[in-house]
Amino acid sequence: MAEEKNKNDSLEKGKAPRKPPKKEEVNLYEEIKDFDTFTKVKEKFADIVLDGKRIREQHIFYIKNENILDFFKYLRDEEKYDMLADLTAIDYPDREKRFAILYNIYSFKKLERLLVRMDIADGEEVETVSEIWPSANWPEREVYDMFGIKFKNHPDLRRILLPEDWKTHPLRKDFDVKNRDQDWMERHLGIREDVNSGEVK
Amino acid sequence: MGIEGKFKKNIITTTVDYLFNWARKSSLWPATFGLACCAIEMMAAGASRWDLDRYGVIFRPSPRQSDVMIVAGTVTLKMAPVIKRVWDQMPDPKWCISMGSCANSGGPFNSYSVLQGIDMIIPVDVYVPGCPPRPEALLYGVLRLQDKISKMTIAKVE
Repeated sequence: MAEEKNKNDSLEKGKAPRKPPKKEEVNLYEEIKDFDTFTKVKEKFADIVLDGKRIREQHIFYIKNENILDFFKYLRDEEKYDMLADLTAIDYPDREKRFAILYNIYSFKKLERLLVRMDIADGEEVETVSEIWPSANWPEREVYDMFGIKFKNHPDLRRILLPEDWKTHPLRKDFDVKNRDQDWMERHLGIREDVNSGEVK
Repeated sequence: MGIEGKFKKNIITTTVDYLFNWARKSSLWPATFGLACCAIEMMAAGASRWDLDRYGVIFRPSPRQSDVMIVAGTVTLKMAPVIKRVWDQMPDPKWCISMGSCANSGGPFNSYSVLQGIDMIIPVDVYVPGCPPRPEALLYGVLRLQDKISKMTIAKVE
């Protein structure tokens, strides 16, 4: 009996609400100061560059979807950002400009990383940067595959992960992740699932 | 007394079924279909520590030379037509081992791009559960398939 009581005690102890230590709300974004590239770019491309921020010692430029090729060419040739490390997109279904495209570029000369972020609306086309950095070719195809964002003048804009006759763009937030394309399955495999019961015909 | 006693020790008698089944189950050549982490376990089962070769299981690179297909891993919808084609290319008699939860039922991936079990498209003889199954589990699956083959008969029911 005594043991049981002890057990209960320990259980109740375990029930005691353990709150995680409260984190202070810290705004990690700072204004850019003493960053030469930003001053130059802000001056030269005043109509494109909207804003610049600094987070954890890394710089982010916010740009508009206008004449981005000149801007990126300048970054590559004059500022020596010679590698495009990554190109990806984010979907914010509630925003007016729904997608954000992120260019993660790196300079081997300065050993510096730079993030360029561009908001675009649904259906808006983006100029390809694969002429500037060839490594953009496949990431742009992936963004097209997953989000349905079209890249103008891309040399080979086909789906890269999903089958070529696929219809949907799965990384859009309004896509149901469990929604298998029954027509596609019937066409290629000759089967069709019953969505409610899971039976296969 | 049959004919057994009439000869000395240089003749054995058996049934055609037993002979065929013995030959079939002793040289199960798999067409490997390694798709994910299960394939690593399958390779381990084929390598020296577990050594599937002891049971006559010799991995073949071509479906035309194979008797059994070991589907090891997640079958995406894009890959599913390929599996079906490889299966159709295998000559009869043929068997299929479904290795791992993903091949059995889709596993954790109830998503837009994953087939929910390969038995939707090809007939499966032995299901090996696990995520991924250990090489012993695959070995056990092969032995169970051998048991299954040893019960086959070539007699036809009219």
